[in-house]
Amino acid sequence: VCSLAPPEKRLRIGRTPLLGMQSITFETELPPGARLCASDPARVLNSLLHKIEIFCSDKPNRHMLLSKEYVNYLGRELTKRLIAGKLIETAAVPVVTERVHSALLDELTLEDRINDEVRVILEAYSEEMRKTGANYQEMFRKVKSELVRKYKAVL
Amino acid sequence: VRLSRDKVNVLARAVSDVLKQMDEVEFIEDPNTIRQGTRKILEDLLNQEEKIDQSARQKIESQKRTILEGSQEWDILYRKYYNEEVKKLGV
Repeated sequence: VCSLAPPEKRLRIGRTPLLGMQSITFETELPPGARLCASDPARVLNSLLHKIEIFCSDKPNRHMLLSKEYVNYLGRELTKRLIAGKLIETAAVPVVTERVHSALLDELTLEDRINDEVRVILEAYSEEMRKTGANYQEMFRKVKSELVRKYKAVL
Repeated sequence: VRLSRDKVNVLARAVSDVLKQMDEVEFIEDPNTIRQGTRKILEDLLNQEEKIDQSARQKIESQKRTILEGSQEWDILYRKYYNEEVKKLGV
C-alpha cells in the first residue's frame, strides 16, 4: 500500500499486517523542482521499495532461519550428543563445539549473505533501474536465483 | 521442522566435513554413519525448536486482546517468550 501524504516531500508506506510485515514510515527528499504525481505510481513505488530494502537491511536484527541463541544451543547439544552416542571422540570438546557452531551458523546465514550480495549488485544498477522503471523486487528475485545457482546453495 | 529436508542434509554434511578436518576428533563410526547420525540429531533438535516457536505463539494468542502477527508488539512479545523458552534449555 503506497500513499502520498502532504507535504509533498513526505512519502508514507504502509505495509499491511496481513502480509506479516510491520508498518513503517519512510521519508525521502525529492530532487529540487521535482514533485510527486500519480501518473507513474509504479516507478515511485519501485524506487521506494528499493530504499526500504536498504533501510531494512541496515537493521541489526537480521533475518535468520533460527535465532542466534538457538544456534548456540544447537552447536553445543549436537556435539554433546555425537559424543554421547559414541559417534565421535574428542578431548577438546570446547574447540569442537565452536567449530560445529561455526559450521551451522555459516550455513544458516547463507541466505542473508546472498541477499546482501544481491543488494550490492542492484545498488550498482540503481540509476539504470530507476531510469528504465525496472521492478526492484523482480530484479531482486532474478539476481538472487542466479547467485543461488552460482553458489549451488540450498536455502 | 521449519528447515527443508535438503537444508538439514546440507547442515549435517557441513558439520561432518568440519569434524573430518579436525585432528582433535576421532571418528568411531564411518563418516556416512556420522553424517546420518548428525542429521537425526539435528532433526530432533529442530523439532524441539518448532515446539518453542509454537509455545511462544500460543502465549501471544492467549493474551486478552488480539495482537496482530507482524506488528512491532507481536515481534517484541515473540522474541521475549521465545527466549524464555530457550533459556529453559539452559542456554
